[in-house]
Amino acid sequence: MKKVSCYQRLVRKQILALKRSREALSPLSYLIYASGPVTGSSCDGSSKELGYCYEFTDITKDGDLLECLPYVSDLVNEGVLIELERIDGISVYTTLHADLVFRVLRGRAFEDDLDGRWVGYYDIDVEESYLPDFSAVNIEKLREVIANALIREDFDREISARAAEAIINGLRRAGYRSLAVWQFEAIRSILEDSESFYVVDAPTAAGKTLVFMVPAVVYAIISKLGRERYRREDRGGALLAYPRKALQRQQLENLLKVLHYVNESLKDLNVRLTVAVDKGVEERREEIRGGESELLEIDLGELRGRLIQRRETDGRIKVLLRCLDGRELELKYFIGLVVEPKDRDYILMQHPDILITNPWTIRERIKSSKAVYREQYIKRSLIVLDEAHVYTNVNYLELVAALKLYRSILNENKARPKYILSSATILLESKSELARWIWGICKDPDCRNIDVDPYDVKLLDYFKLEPSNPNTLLKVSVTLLPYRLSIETIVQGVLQVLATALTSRSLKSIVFVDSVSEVSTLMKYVKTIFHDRSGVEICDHILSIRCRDHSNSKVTTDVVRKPISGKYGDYSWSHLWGYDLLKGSYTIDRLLESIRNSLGLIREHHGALTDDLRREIEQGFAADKYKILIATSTLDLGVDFGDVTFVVQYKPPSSDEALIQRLGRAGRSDKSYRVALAFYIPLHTPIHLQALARGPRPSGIVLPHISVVNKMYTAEILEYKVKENLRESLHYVREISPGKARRIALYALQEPLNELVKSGRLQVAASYYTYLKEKVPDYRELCKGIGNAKKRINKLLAELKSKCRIKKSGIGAGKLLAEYVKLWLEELSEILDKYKELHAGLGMLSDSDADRYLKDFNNDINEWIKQKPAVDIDESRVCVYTPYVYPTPISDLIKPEECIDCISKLYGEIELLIKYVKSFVSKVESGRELITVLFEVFTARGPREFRLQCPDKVSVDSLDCHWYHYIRDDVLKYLRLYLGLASRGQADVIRLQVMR
Amino acid sequence: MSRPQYERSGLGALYAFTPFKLIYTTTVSQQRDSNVMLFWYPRGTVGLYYDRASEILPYPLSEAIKKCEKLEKLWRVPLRDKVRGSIYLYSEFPAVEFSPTSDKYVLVIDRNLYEYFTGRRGEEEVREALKKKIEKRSTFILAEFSYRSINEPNFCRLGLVLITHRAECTIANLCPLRSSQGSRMCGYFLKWSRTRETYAGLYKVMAELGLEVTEPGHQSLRVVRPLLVLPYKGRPLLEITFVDPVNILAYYKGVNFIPKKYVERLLRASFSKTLGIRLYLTSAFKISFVDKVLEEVVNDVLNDQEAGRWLRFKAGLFLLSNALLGSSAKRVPLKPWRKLEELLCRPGSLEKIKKLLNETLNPPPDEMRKAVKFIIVHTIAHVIVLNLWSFLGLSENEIGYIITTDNDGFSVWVFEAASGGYGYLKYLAENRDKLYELLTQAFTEAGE
Repeated sequence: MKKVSCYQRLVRKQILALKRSREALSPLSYLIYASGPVTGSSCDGSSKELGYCYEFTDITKDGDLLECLPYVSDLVNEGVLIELERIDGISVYTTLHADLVFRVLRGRAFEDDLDGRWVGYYDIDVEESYLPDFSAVNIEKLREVIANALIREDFDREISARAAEAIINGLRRAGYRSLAVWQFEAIRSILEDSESFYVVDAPTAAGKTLVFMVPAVVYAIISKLGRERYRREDRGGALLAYPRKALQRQQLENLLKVLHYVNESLKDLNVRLTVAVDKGVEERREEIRGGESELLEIDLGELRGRLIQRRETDGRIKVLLRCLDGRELELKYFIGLVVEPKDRDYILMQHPDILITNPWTIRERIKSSKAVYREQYIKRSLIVLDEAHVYTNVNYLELVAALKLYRSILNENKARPKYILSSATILLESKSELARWIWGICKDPDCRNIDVDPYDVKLLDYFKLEPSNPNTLLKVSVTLLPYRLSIETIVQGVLQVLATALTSRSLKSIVFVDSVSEVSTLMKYVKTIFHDRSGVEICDHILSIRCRDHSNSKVTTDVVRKPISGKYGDYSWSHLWGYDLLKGSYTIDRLLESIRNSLGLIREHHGALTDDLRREIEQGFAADKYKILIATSTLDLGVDFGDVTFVVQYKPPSSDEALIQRLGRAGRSDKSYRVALAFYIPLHTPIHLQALARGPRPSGIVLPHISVVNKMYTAEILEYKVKENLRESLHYVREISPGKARRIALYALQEPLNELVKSGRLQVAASYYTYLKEKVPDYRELCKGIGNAKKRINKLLAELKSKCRIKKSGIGAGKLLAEYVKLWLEELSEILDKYKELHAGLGMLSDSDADRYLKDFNNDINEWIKQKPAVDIDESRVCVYTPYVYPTPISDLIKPEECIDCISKLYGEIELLIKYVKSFVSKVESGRELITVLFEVFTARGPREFRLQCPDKVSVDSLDCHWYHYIRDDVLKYLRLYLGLASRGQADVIRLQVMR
Repeated sequence: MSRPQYERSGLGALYAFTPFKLIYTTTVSQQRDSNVMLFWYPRGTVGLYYDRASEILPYPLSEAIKKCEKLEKLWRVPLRDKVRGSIYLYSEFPAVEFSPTSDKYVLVIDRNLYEYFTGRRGEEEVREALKKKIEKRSTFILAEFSYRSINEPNFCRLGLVLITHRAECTIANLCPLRSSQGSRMCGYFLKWSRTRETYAGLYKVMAELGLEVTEPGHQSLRVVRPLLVLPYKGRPLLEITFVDPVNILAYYKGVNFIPKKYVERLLRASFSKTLGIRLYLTSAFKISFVDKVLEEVVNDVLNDQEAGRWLRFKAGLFLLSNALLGSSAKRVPLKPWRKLEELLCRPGSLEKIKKLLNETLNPPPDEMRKAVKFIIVHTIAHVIVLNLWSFLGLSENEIGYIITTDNDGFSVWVFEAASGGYGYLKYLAENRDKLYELLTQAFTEAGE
């Protein structure tokens, strides 16, 4: 720890000097360390021209750093303290972190092109936070807390003590010998206190996982012992939901490690705690060879190897640990992970004591037609949402509505679980409010009352529970704005510096961007730099000769750039690459090849990759095979790679929380010297500059009005009820046709909608819409007539232009007529569109509004008819009466007969169109009928979606398939029509269909 | 065709799936090297595709065209609705993957050229038509997309050939801008071997959206709540009203190709038939300006020497592009930039250039005042929207804005860009003190 703390001190001093230097504007003063007295500083007159200077600090004379001297050689060997040069026999050092900052700030394409530098303005934030003291509380202290929790559940004292003993033993063997004070207090509170909701708020790397993992194991044992020893079915185990796959995978590994040893200790009690992972199955499924799929690589302490899931011929699933020494061990406590949909039946039927899942899966399972699925989600005594701040993000509003439905179903089933929300970045003014936001159900439409009592929410705040201590995490955040070039140049430069520095070091970096497309763009840049341009830019920073022109030359000491004594020392990256790598008979070609090979150290990580590939990348990253990951939000929450120390945020992240979370991925262990260095490259638009200048909002983030989520919740609950109704019907009739199932579903919707009519929230009953819809077929012929007439008119308009050409240049009556008719037809489309658009919220339309709409529609159509083009043809001229009279003498026409004939035909078609439109208008009896007919008949439809994979008949087993592929859309359409509950999934979403 | 993998909602979907923009791409270092792109047909062009690029790439353009199928075929996907017969609201967009295994070819070609290569038009006629088109619009006339051309594009520095795999400019004989007339070679045509840039390195492709707002008149649903009045010199300048619900129609007006390094012209592809999305029943703030007070602001700003000079210049450029709301003239968004380029790149003294600039940017006083007024409204709208984004931690994907005009003057609609809304504007409508604080801070900072 002393070494780590020394390194932090060295970095901090240099970074603070760079920060001071920014405030002094110019030149940039770079503090470096000497192992003895080095005369003077280079910050004299000439430095102004170069824009930087070195400031030497004699480490042997600096009181703060003296005690770090013994660690210098270790730090040098580890590659984080770099000997830049020797001056008069005295070694001059810099830290890797500060040096990276300096090289980036001074980065440019050519050594003498100071105007081509990447960075114009920068800002440095330095923050130190104390780390939890994980050795403060002996794990033994938890024994009593756990035992008491079991006793409170009416287990006898002996069993409780033995179970507690087993858990403590298991935790100890899994490596948890002690806890931080805050962890102990938080676990105690969750197990002992009576509140229903707990908000765990602690910074990244503070050990939140254990805070809910221990209660999860305790509740799992309560459930298991209750069921197996006392035949009590009332208590279920724990459910842990994670919003990111990578996080879920890492947490599964942690949990398996604990369960492995806890179960060994529980053998005496003859119980085994089980865990399973339920999730959706991606379209490009994980590769399954011979019924086997690889889940992850795992280290259980004594055992290491690959976890393999095997599907047996009888449908059972086995999870095997294939050890490095070739042994195979069945992990009976791991029931399995859903790789294929058919795995789900087996996995959930085994009643896992701890169920790991994600919010999207919760949303589907609670509405599932299969009782066993629902039951596994309902029978839970502890529900944990990790990284719960994500639910304040706009993209999660529908999931929040689904979680409210989950709670409402739990309430309906008289389940009273404890709810834990855990996060490092709750940026709300009142953090407890998060529990009300996610789990609270509104008691009135405008949400003035919410059913989660603030007194029933307990905030477990790290900074209140953990006493301060000297162990710190150093966080450095450097914001970079471009000089004359773009932010793309900066990020390309940062990537080059990072790749140069990390090639020979076992430290890592994650570069965060906010879209897959952005990841792709960055990967393209990387490819261009390392592959297409063969890494010559990096080579030029290492050697003082142009690499492109001297590829066959040898790398000699003379050509290696010198960071201090060289003229453009700030341009040198030779020390970052490593002098050792440049020794020996090394040609520039070989150096270029090594640089090109660095491309293999950079990988991408995002949601569009298959699970297999993502896992391979994560494992390769953990195993040092890859050094830089360019990632989207897939890696920003909770994931723990101990040796990540650099983070780059390219362009502003989706939220303030994301920036904090992403910086939290770095400096998580001593391997990274507990230093997190972030380069933040924001956009340099006025708003972003203004936001930067203003700094973070003191009052925290704003949540949207909860009534909007409440509307979504209403849609969720109605959908749930309809599906429940349909499921119950299927118990009686067993199998029905998809069409009938759809009709039953729509019929089932009528009851709750009629309730809303009674309460005044709806104007008309759902049956009225059905009645209107029945009238739709009568209109189809008219619609067809209008459409065909328009087509014929358009055809004639095309002919008109050629047949009514005039001899001289200019606009003739024919062309004018064609253009006018086109506009006139567009006007009709606009009128129809205007009323068709009103279908959203149609059920809430009052009678007076409906009447007004019909009246307005009639007026609009009459007005449109009045605007019809008039043509007058006599012997000498063709006259078009558009807004102005426009005559063309017959003698001017090239083909007078054809023109006149065409105009006559056109006129006939126009009259026919008007006739159809008038018939339509006279047929419509009410405003609601008008809107319904326009919506149903005049909405263009493309080819029907391919209805796939569902059996021909709808049964309880196949209901989920039919529901999501066929019935749900119609139910949601109904809800939109009636309640104005515009389901985003239906109205807004665009999917990309990739043609391969 | 594979099953869908990518999904976006609201305005974000239109920004993410912009035609001609690389939506997703991996590199050769990855296991699967691919580029995914969406195509739509700009005004006056024909779109074609072929399934096996390797078979068609060696053929001359005239042969390749004959073998291709119309791009329309790909667009047989579920359609939600069609608005005004020209805005197509699809629930799925078909995109094309270009990779070594997915060997596709997409050709977007000017209609005149297409007719030339299919033997329906003569060389002279086409050259003349292209000349007219190029004078009128700054757009490309040929783009050939394949795995090869995306990764190693050859292109025209003037942007006429956006991208091609061909080593020579295949339309040099027809091009009115060819650098060396009479020769088949053209100095504007650059090969990849010289630039070593990918397609993404040549252009930044950005969507230009058209936005329209409508207020469904359901009295039983409708909430119109006046929130704040902001004064100017003690008189009300603008009023902010919360309106719920509103519907939004968003669609691509065009796509801009912003050149990065090698291409010299800003390019724009406009659409007559286009793609869009409708957002139902969302919430909005309507910001209505009091015209008389706005006139006073205009006077004060124009009287300020520095601000006035800058605003006149900006208004001049603005009017040159016919962008003033309510103007019936056809918009030419890139015209001001072309003019500026012409003027500034012309040899001559600074005084002469200044004089020419003044002549070019010298609209009638009435028009000028209208344009200045619009610029001020636009600036105020920006101050408000940018600060809302910053305060709420959102972006243009979630909060959009539209400026409209009618007899009463200008209005700005700030809306939540998702069906049903998000509830942020409703929160601010119920917490007017926060809104007031936000706006006061915004205008103070903007003033500073």
